[in-house]
Amino acid sequence: MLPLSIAWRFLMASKAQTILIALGIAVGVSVQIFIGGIITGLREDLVETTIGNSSHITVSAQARNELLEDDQSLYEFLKTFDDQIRVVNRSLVFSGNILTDQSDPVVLRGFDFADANQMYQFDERLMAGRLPSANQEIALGKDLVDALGISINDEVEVLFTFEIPPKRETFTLVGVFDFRVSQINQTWLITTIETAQTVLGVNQVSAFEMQLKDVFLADQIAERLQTELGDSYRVTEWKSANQELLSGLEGQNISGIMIQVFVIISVVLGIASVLAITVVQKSKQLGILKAMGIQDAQARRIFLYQGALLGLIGGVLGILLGLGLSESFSAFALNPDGSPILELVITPSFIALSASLAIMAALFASLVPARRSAKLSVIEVIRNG
Amino acid sequence: MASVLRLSAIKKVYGEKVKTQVLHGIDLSFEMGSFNAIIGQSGSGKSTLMNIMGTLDYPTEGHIEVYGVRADQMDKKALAKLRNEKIGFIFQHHYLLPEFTAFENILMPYKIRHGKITEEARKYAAELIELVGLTKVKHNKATDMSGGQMQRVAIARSLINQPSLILADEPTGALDSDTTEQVYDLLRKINKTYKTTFIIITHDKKIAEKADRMIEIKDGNIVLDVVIQ
Repeated sequence: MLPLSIAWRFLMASKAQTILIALGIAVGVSVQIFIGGIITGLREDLVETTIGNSSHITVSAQARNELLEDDQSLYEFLKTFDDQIRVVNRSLVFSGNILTDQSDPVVLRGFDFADANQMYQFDERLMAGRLPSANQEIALGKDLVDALGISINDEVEVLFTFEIPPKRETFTLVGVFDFRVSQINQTWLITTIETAQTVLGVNQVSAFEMQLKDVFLADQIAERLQTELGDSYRVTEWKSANQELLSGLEGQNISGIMIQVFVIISVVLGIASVLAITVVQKSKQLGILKAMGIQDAQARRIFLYQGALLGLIGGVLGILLGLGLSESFSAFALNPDGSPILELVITPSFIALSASLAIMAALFASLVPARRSAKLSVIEVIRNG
Repeated sequence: MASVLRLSAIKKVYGEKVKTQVLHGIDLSFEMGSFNAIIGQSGSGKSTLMNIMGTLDYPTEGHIEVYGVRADQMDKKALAKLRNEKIGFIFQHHYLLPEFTAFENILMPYKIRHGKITEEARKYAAELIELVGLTKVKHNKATDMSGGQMQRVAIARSLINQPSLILADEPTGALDSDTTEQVYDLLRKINKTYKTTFIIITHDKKIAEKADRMIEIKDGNIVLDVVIQ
């Protein structure tokens, strides 16, 4: 404990120097936390925007345009196939045309909303009305509703060309949604899976769609699933369809790591240089301590403790500073609608990692000064005293 | 009487390429409880001798026995322990730790030895600080004291582990003559009270004449070794 108390006294005796170096570490740690938060936030934001509202793994029939039996046992099998699978959603999708002057092409999508809500968040996207529940009820995107000039409870006629002569169906508009993607807002017709199956006259589905807790495991799980299900099924996953996004994310990751590495290097250099000076400053004290019988190992520990203490103080300050920086970024960098431009993602484990990196960097930086302090000869100090 | 410290044929050579011999075979022995002065001009080798006696430096040749144990054959770790437990040091330049108070400085060798400070040690330190007359300033930082006060703290510190040997290198070298007198009286008092062996290095013959034994060293050789009175 003696080396620790001496280390603490040494640090407190030159407060200005201690504060400066701790601030240096703190800035490093805060930059790490802030940049880390931005990079993780950006990554999650990109992933969320790209695949947040879509299927991560899709099981469909091997042949294109063929349907799968609406098989309850397959549904249950998929739900329990892997812990990572968050939701399994049956969907039946086929196209038609809304009968207006221009005959707009649309896609009818039938869902079981209990499941589909967990994937598409329909209830959150709903601007008016409610989700379809009874037969022949539908919800449309806001762009399509605007174009048609209709409102809730109006009837909508759709022509389906899956058979000849084309089938004409009348639906009741019960809800209007906004997905903030005009393609979806213009073409999607949402209804219950039962309505869709009745219209098509089948008891089948187009696909079983799944979302995972960790989206990046999609390829592994999909591969296992394909093996398990056999060749009569086609298993696709989001990653193979989004290679560019993935390499973008990878690039971002690497640049993030580079920033962190350079921050650590600068922290190490800063601490090492200050501690190296401190050994010289304190050589007289070390000399007298050694004359009084302090062991070389203890003398070494004085500087290791100084490094650790500086890392600790700087780390704590840095966490506070980093969180403050992130808070103010979230508070001041806003979209026109008042929402933050980017939701920073800072997890406790990331904070712990940054802080322990700072302490380890500080310890590492104090190795050389500690060695010098252990080697310092009493006689040199006494003679030059 | 038993010998605290014994030097036989101690030689010290400095330098690798250009060799300078500072000590030419010193033989000395110090009795328990004696008060000794070593005098010599600067460059005579007396500080080197003191450093070797204090196990701060190794002799190039010769034996040194502290309490009958060969110190020239010990490793650094064992020497550090020996110094801490058996030898008290008083240096010319005080060498207090400026980051600590007078009281903490006095307790430092005890803390190095035991790792913690007991109530008993605290009491003894208070007794020592009383002895050197610094009770009033015991909580001052070393930097907030006069030269004489600092030297008296260093004396108290040298006593905390109750060593039976104290080595003092020009303990009054940086002090004025009145303070010098007081410090010597103090050392004498300690010598009488605790039966502590003192070896004092000085260049001041008047001071040396107050010791029980005076040894003069010149160009690395003993030229005078007399018992006074």
